[in-house]
Amino acid sequence: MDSTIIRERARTVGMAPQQPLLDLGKQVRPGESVIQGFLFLCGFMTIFTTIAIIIVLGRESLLLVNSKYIDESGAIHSIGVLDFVNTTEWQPHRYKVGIAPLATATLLSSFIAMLVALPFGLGSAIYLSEYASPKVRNTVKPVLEVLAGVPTVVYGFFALQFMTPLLQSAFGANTVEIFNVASAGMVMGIMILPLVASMSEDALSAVPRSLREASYGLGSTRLETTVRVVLPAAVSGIVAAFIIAISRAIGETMIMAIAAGARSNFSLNPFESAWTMTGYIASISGGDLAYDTLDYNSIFAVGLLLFLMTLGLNIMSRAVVARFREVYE
Amino acid sequence: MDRIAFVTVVFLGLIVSLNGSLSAAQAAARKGYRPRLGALLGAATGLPVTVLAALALSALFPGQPILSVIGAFAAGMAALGALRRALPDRAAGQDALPNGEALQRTIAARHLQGSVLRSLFFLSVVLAIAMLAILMWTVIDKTFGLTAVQYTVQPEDLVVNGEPVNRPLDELTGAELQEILADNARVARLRVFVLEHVTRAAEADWPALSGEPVSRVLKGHEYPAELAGVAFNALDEAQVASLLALNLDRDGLQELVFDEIIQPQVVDSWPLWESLTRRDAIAAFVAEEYPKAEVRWRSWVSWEFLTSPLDPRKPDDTGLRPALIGSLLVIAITIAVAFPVGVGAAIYLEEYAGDTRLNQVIQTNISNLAGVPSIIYGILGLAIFVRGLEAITSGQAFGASTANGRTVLSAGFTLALLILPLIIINAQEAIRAVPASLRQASYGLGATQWQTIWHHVLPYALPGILTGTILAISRAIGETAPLILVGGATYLTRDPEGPFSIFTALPLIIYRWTTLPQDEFRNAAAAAIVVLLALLLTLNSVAIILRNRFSRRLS
Amino acid sequence: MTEGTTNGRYAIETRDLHFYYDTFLAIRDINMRFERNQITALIGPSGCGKSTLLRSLNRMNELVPGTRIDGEVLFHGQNLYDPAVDPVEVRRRIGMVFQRPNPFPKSIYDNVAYGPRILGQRNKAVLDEIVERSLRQAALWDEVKDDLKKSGLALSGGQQQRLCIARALAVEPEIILMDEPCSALDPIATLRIEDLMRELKADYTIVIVTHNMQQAARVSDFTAFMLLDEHRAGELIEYDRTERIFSRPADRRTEDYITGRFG
Repeated sequence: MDSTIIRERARTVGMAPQQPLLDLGKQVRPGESVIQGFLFLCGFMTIFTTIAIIIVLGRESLLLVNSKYIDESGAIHSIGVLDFVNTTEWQPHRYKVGIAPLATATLLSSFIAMLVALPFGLGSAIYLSEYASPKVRNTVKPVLEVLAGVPTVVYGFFALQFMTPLLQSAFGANTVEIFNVASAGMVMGIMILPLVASMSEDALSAVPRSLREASYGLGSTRLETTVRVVLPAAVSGIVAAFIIAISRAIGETMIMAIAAGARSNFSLNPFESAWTMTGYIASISGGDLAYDTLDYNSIFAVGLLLFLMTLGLNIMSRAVVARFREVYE
Repeated sequence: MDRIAFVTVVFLGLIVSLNGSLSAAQAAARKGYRPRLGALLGAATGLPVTVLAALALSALFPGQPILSVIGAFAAGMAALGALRRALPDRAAGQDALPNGEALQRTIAARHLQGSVLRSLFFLSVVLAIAMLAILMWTVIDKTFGLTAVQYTVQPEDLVVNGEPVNRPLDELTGAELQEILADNARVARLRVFVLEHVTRAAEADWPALSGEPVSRVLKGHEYPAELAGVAFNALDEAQVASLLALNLDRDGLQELVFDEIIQPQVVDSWPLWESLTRRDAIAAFVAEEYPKAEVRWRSWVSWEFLTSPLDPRKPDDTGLRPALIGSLLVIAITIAVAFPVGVGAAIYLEEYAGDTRLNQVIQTNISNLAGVPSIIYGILGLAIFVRGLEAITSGQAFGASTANGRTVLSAGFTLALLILPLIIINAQEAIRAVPASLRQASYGLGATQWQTIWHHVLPYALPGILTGTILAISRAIGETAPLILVGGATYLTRDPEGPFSIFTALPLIIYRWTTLPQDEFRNAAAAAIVVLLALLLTLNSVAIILRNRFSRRLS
Repeated sequence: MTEGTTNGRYAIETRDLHFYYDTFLAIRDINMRFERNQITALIGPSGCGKSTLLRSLNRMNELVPGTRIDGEVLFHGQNLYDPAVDPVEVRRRIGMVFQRPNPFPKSIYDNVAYGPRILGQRNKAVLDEIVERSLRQAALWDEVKDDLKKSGLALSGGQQQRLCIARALAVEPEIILMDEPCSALDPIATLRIEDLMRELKADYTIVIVTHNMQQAARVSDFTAFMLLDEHRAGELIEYDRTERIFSRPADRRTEDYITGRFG
């Protein structure tokens, strides 16, 4: 169009002739960008945490096998990676770092915990999901949540004050030491029970009603429907719950630190005291641990193993859910 | 056969019996018998056979308990199988599928199985509830009870001006109480009384204060003018006693005499149940073992307990104050860090992040972090905050004078990292629950993304976010392992003051007291547990109320 | 439950049947006699209580808490709702096929063998025979016989529904109830199932709920038309031979429905 006409038009509209009528271009909003950047950093914080864990644990563990330690008599010791597996004693102050006693105690206590948590947790889940009336369910579920919310140090107290005397009266005070793996393991099982129950119950509830109807329609009893139809359909979620429970048991510290004992013990007798991996880390730390001693570095080595075990289990649990997720329709 | 093996065998025998009753019921129904009969036979066979087999095997192969146990179990199961086969078949000419009488028997067997297993499932629930009840009871049992209280100085042995005081404390005048103090305590102790009860100076400061003049030490309190310039540690008993009399009222002086001169001390204690049921026996025991002691009822959780400092030697005098303050300070820092970062991350993931690979990695990573044991976070905190960032966390960069990084700040950061994944996951869920229509309405009016989030999404999601945060906080309050790693102390002479102080915390103190040798420290631990659980209960109730309000608003 | 004669003319009948969800009356005054070895269709606008009536016949409605029944359902001369009667036994004799196919997430074999197994049959040879017979009766055998271990969920919709029918047949019921069995299926699968129903009626009594009038006209011998009354309770308007209902309905409302004037 002729520029004179545009100018005429612009004047009637009351705007300066060079400006476009309406600016729909993208506005620069620095505030938004800053905020978005900040939020991204927040999100990235978690990646930072994971990287930090890996670096810290890895580096100090490497330091452990690369350092030379000098003891009081001036002798020089160094630890090789193989030393972790070919000794059966864990006494860092004597430069023996066989991981076997710690690992055995951890696995033994976790096993005992699973003996308590898995059957009773699954049983509770089945009852709540398939048998209980809504009123019962609404009363029991909070109780389970409370059980799950009790701090672990309180469970440690409970193990020492109730479980150990109970075991001693059942099996004799000569067999059962005051600090023993069984007592700590059983109480740990009680602590994990609600976790198993709630995850299993979610898995059971997720089974569609139509499957249950089909089963009843064929003349099944409630038990048959539960055991032959619902449970198999929910098995991936239940197995995932079990794996998470094991992971939780392996990583549990305070109950072990209080009730399981503090000595290196490569034994399968649950009534003896023994250091678990977590119990050892808790015992050896505390105000006066000097940096770069063998004790200090051993924390990271044990911690690395612990981290890898629990991470591996958690990943496995998610893989189970993803791969074996039952397709219902 | 040793006890462990025997108990195991009995346990396995019960399992065999249970299995037997269920399978025998079915078999009986198939073969033409009443299922109940089969169930009874199966149960009656299982346990005895297993136990007998165990005894036989342990006699034949002594010293091999595992063999006996496994063998017994196998024997029991075999016996069941034999029973099922041995039952003569009464059902003639069976159809492929049962009809008529046979059908009814089968159904009866199935219903029987159903009832038995239903009871087992119910038992699991009962066990869980029972465990909670027993746990609570164990704690309460140790928190209240009878104690044998012995006086260091018997009230009747108190001396004033060489003469025994024969009247009860209540009847003594202030002047007389002042005399008692001067006559029955050494001057050093009297000075401690002044520092502790009048000026309330921290124990760590006492050595420094002793050399100061009275006017400085008792700044803000009463003192005779003539003593103003005198060095505090140059005073004699009468003078210090007069300081006490000037600043404490009569009742305060009486309390001082009672607590510090007479000094009741718990020499023995009994749990609640025993205290209630065996009162007389306890009284008799005390009369014999501690002739000078009195039997008194005590609640180990009390106001004094909450407000006193720690005493590492005397469980009946120790208090929770430094731990409460320490926990409070640490949690304040934890919230200050974790809440904004956590909510920020959640907002980023839900509102800004696309479905890119990076964001999926972040999401998976958060799930993984939520499952990492808390002690690993402690190790992380030790390496990074306590050691690596020592300059910052010890406050040296800011001119404070803490010796190392084992401070409230390190603990706060460590716990913040611990609960960060929880807050993020919760906040994500709350943000996801905001209806799309709300966002669209905002965008439709021309708002920017952040404006929409800040003015619409966040307010809507806030109750859910807060609920999740409160739950994460209650998790953080109970965490002990990270605090141990980060160097939390278990005895402090001074209350923690700020972010750069060394610190202790409630769960740490519980840990310490539970593991000390004297039994009375476990009473103190139980009392501290009561406080901790009450705190958590309050927090969780707030969260639940919030959640109910939240869901009411949605519907 | 008594055996009774299996030769009576009526397989199952209702007398003054009323059904309540809590206090809400869903169906009332249902008096029907279902003829043996015939297909009876229940038709009517949606929500008129057809499914409720159907599920009352095998006590499936009890799975919902808070339900109540008045009147009787007579099967072999006995009231199914008598407290002495076990619903487990009822449902074995009166089977059900549902609207959406719901095979168990198990193999085809295990799906069909489920019923016999819970009845205690463990002999593999016998189970093999039952599975083959049921799958043949459901016109599915030829399509799946080569791989019975395949998951039931891997079949097409129509095949899944026939699998569910085979599963129901495996426990040798007398009556088969079908609740809109074809509504989730394509037309070809629908026609196959209708053919199947015609074959099955030689050995079984079939009651089918359908919202598809043409299907009712094609497949059933008897048709019952239901409608909601002014209190929103379903009542039986007309019940007669299918030819009669669709050519000369006695009730005006039936005619209106059939000619599409409403519903």
